[in-house]
Amino acid sequence: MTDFEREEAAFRGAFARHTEEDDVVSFHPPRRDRRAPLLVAALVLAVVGTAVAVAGSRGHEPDAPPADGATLKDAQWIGIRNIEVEAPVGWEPKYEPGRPDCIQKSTDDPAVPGFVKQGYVVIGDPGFMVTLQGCLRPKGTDDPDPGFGELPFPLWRPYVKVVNIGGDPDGTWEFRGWRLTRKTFGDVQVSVLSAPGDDGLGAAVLASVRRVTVNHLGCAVDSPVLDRPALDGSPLPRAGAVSGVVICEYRRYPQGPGLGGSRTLSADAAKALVRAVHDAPDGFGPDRPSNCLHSPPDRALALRFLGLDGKAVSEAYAYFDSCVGNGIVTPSGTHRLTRGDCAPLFADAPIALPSAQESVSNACYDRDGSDDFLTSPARSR
Amino acid sequence: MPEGLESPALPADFEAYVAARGSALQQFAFLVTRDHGGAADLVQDVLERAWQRWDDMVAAGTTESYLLRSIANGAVSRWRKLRRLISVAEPIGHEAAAPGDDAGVAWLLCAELPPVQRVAVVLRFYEDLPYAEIASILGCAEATARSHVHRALQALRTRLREGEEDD
Repeated sequence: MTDFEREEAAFRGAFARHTEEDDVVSFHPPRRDRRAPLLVAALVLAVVGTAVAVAGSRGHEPDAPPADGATLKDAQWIGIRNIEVEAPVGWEPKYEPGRPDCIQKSTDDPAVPGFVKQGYVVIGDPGFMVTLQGCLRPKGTDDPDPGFGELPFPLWRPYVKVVNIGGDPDGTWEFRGWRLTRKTFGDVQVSVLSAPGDDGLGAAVLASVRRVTVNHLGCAVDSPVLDRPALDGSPLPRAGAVSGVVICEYRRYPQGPGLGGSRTLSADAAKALVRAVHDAPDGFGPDRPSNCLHSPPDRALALRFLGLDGKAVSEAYAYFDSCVGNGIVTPSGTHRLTRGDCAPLFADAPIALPSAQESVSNACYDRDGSDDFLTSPARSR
Repeated sequence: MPEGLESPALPADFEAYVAARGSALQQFAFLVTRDHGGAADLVQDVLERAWQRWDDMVAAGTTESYLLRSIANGAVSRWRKLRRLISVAEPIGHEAAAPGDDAGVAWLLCAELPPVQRVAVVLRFYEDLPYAEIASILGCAEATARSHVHRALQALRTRLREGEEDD
């Protein structure tokens, strides 16, 4: 039996097992009654009324306040997939390199001038890699627990991370007044590193966890974009009718596709993007060389264009993750990737372009050494 | 009986259809909602709406497709509504099927599939519909319908292999 035959048999067996006669509620056909339309209407109103009362707003149900009173003042929402948490406002999204052993020579003196201690947030794993450069520092007897990671202690900064699960254990660790708290919610892991004197941060962040179907920027946690469906809806508006763009990244995680990073473009940037899409040549591209497996993409973006009233008026899909079918897909047509319509999409965290075909990279990668990467202490702010 | 409250006999074709397909529609609704009570309500609601345009649908030959599409859309809408009400405090974890029980693994996996994927595999492996009809019911391209089923099969393959590695 092939894998496919086994899987098909499994689904068929499951459905057959759970639709045996004694599992099904007996069916009562509706009576034809002149009152039926009114009765149906009344029933619909009652159901809708109930649904509105409990659903909350924007597709998420806030959790009850935590019993211990832990709350965050001046918070921002961050998240991936269907999990959002509150993080301190002002903590900007950063990309962490995988092995920063050689950023700074070893010293355990956090009072050394120039060390940046501003907190940051990590929203998903961008997939960047840092190659090991052969300067591992010697292990000491007073090293922090490995659960804190490999970043040298002098470079520690408080953070809130929301990433797809990847094998790191849940738990709590302490070292010289720093506290790391990590907890998993479904396929998402939340980690909080608090600096000395801010012990309540971890509890407050974890108490704020909420499951959403639509995130705080209006991105649905599920999207068909990775399956490259036909796109219905209103055509792309003119630049003058747009007040913003919400960029929603979708990724094919090991556990299944879901929402990654998301961010918004200002009104001016949104108008420039819309003009660039309209001006871009029709059709897919750049698609040369077409020397890869023509498989569905692992990453794609959904672009939600906001009208002058702030509500979504149109949607487009951006494809860049392959050697074929790259481009901006709108309800009214497709447009090639250009510097104008692609580079702004990846200009800031947490939406990254870790790798791409050369032609796509030329259009979409326009970094100027931005501060989205964690910097060494030598660069002051 | 007061005037206006009489119940004339149902049209023969509607009544016959409901008698023949009603339970099957409810089974389909249960497989995509995984809730017996919700499935019954959903089918009742769909049939009451269909009854009002029954003659038109029969004339157009779209009865079955309309009903399955309405149930599928209702299931997806219901899933989205219920997801907003799930408490974070609920324990998160996976039930386990008995070793070697592929159907049990598939059933548990179905609860975790995105609703459109779940509907697609039920249409394919319970209703035995061709991809063109599945696409028509889901309102998507045929390639997208194939993709939904393919993704669900991949997810099941991964889950079955995980179970074998744990053994």
